[in-house]
Amino acid sequence: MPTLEPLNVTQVYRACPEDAFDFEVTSELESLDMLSGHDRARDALDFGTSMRSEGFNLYVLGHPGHGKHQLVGRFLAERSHDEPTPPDIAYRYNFEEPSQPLHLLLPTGMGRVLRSDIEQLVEELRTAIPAVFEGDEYQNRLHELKQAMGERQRDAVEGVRREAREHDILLLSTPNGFTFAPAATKDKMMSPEEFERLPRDERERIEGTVQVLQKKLSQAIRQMPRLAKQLREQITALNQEMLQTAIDAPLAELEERYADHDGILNHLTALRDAMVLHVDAFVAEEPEIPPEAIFSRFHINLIVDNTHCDGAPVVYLDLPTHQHLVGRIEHHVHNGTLVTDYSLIRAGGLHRANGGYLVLDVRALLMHAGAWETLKRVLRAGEIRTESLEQAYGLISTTTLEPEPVPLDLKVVLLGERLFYYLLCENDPDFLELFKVQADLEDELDRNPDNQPLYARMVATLARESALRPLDRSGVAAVIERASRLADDQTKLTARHRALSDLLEEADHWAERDDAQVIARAHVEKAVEQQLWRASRIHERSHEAIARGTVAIQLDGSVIGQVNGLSVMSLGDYAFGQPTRITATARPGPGHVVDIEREARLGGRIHSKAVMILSRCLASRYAPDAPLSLSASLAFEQSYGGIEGDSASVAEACVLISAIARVGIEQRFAVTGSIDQHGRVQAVGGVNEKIEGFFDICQARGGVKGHGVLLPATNVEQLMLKQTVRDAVAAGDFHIYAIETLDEALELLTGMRPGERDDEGHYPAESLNGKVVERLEAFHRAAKKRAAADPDDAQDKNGGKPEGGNGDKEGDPESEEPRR
Amino acid sequence: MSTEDAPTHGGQVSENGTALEAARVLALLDASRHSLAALTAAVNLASLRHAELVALYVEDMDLLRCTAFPFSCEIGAQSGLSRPLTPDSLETSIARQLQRVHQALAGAVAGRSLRHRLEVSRGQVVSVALTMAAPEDVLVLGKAGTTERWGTRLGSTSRRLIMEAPCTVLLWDERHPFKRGPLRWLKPVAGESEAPPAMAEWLAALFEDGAPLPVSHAYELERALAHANAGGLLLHRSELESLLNEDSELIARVPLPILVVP
Repeated sequence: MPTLEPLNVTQVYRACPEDAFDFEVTSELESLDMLSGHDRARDALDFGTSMRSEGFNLYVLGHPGHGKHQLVGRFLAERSHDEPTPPDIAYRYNFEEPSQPLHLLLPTGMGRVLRSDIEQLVEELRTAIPAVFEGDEYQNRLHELKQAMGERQRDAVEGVRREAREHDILLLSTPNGFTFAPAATKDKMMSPEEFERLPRDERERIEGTVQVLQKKLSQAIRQMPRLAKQLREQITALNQEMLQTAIDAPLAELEERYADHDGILNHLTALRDAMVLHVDAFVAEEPEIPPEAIFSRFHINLIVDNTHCDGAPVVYLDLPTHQHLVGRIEHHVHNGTLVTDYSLIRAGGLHRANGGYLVLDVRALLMHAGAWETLKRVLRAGEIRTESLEQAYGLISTTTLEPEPVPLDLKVVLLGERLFYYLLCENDPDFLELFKVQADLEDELDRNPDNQPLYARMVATLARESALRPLDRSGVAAVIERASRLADDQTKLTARHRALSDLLEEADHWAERDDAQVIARAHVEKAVEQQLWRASRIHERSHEAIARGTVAIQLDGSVIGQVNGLSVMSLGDYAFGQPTRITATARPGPGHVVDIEREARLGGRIHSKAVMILSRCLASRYAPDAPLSLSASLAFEQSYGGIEGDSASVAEACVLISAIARVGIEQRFAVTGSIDQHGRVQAVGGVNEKIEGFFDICQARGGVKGHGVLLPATNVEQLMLKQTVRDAVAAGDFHIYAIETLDEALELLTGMRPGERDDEGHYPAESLNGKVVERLEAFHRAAKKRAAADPDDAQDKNGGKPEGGNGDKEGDPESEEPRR
Repeated sequence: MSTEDAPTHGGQVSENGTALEAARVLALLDASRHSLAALTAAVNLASLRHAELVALYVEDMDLLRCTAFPFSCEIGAQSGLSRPLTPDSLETSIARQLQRVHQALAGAVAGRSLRHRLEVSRGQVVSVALTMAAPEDVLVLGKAGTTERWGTRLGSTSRRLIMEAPCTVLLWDERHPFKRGPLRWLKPVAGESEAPPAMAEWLAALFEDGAPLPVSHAYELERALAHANAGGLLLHRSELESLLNEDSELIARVPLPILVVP
């Protein structure tokens, strides 16, 4: 087995060659569509916005750092530019059912024209109507009507009086009415005595005449109310006739102008009818409904005016509450009561975006009570119903408005994290019904010679949009290298625009301090350095503790049962690595490995799984045919916060083998990597931080010379190490080894050949593996001996459970009790 | 029949021998709402000028005799229903009216040092009232009393009183509260003096200033005064007569008190 060579400097960092660029500064480059590289998402957006069918709304999935607003906003702005501008939306008074205002969809820009036309109409009527009723024509006709009716009323009684006079009978007034009496001479009543003296015929004639007269008078009086009613009807008819003359001309003009718009014509007809119906309001001195109240119903409440909208609207609602979505109905306080009418209906985001696109943040939408349900309800119903939450849920019962719902025609574009998408898919059965199109943004872009110029253009576009200095080639190269590091991959570039534009802004700042015209590599590196410096307080405190020996890390010599593992701490978007001392003990026992972290409930589930895998790996390697009589323990020393992940399993395997074989491990190395049950090393995360963390500790503790890190070979492509590490690697001071198997790690750490099984399955006696097998056999013998000395106990402790039952009784302190 | 001394004709003479500014204020009462409203106006007028108030109640002899006819019955002015008219019921009705008039007068003068008396006579209303009135007196009538109940026209009794009274007649408008304001009169035809018509000074003091109205027809007058809410209107009997010929309901249509001078 050849000795493993350390990685060279080109393997630990992929620099960006500046001469590959065909520009000097980025200002020469054309701007780039920021969605390039996100082909999947762009196609989805393209598809989603073209599909007019119901339910094809979009959900844009991506990391918060993607700058989804800008990406999607720009796409929608371009898309909507060529689309037709939707109609204006207005509400009008419903003369038949005032609590249910009617909507009016008007061709774009007509809303404000109609509004001012109606204002003018009202202004005109306000003077024209009183003029008609004050005019001589009306007053004279009214007077004539009243006079004629007065005469008819008078004639009714006077007729009876005259008739009575013709028959020599007088009509007299009594306190409560009238009575008849025969006349002696003109205007002089005949006395009852005289009457009695009259001949019988005469008396009977008078009596009969009086009876006829009484009947006639009674009839005449009884028809008075009918006459009064007739007069009222005549006056109303006159009023209406005169009103028509005042309103005909201005209304006809509008009717002609808006002849093609049924909604407007309906409204104009309703206005005419309302005025005719309430004609008294314009005539009476103190009318029940003042004319202004009638005029106020004529106006339209233009809630969406698209006059200045270029193409279809794109509306982003930053506070997507129920009210901001469907609009609201405001109230006035009048005499201590809340009153409202159609003029107080206010548009919501859905109204404003109707005919275009409504962009919403999923997180904000879900956080506001009822907003998500409201949005779904609107999308399902295909209409926007303006009502308050209290109304929708029946929490109030005061009279309020029920505006006619506005037909919905828009695309909703939700922006959100992937987690929310999958949670909604799982928990809301309506979600996929209403949001059929997912636009999934890439987190990383490929880094290859073809892509690098594109990435340069993207950097140029970001710089241009933020009005920053252009970058020269070195600046772009530095940004690309940093983008690779942010992606933690030599073959990838981060696609998160926010991190990139932050970096550019900061680099621009440092360039400004240097009075530089362009952003160069130095400025980018300064910006990165400053970003790390600002975030590194806890990192430094942690490394200081190791440098001062408070946290014991041994960097020299060879120690049995102790190895330097590597761990990564994540603090927000900052992460750093540092070595961790992992120790192991081994002695005869029932055949399991005690993971102290897990026993103490400081280890996570993945970590536990890794320990189980490595214990099975050891068992199959060293005792394939016999029971493993081993009781071993593993611990992360001075770890107080908890351990998760499987990246220490190579180190744990090595330290266990060291403890079993009593072979020392070189402390100048640190190890990371996970293993499978067959001892193959697998990739882990955070390798850059881990290597840099160990490097920094070595440097702080007296130099890096001779030190090194072992990492899985599959992680090499992810190496983008910092300059100081690269320098040390180039100088041959610091070594980075890419390992593929556990044996490679053991050889490097112990300096001994691990040895391979011969045909009979035995390891060479002097090899490391041979020592391990030999020691395990000794453990087995010791265990057997003890079992023979105390069979009952051995039966109880060992016989009752499967061998190597890691995870079933390790926690029982009894099983750990040494018996010698 | 009279509650005090027999009525004296003409102006009364005060103790120092000079004629009182207005001899008497006559109020013709019939216990109807409008006549009682006119009584209040008459009381105010009388106490303003320290004149004597004479309330006049006439029991209509014709009416009382009417009841003796075998066919006599009353037809309701509003309902048109006919009810039998008997002497007993009419007497009772008159007695109650008189009682109400008593109470109203007592109530109206209560708390004022006002010379007043109630004259109760039997006879024909117009002739009794015309006999009582002297040229210096003021006869106060309620406007509504001048009208019939369905329309608003001048009743025959009131019309005769206004046209034949020897004194000034004040037609009180009880439907609108009285406010001091200009006294209006009809502008005389060209050539005549524009000075206000002669009238008792104390009566003129009820009003502020005065203004001639350039109108000569009933409908013009009605429109000119349609929105007037203060002051009054002064008319000569001849003017009123010609206006009433044009519009018999004019008096009710003018929302102001009307002074009619002979």
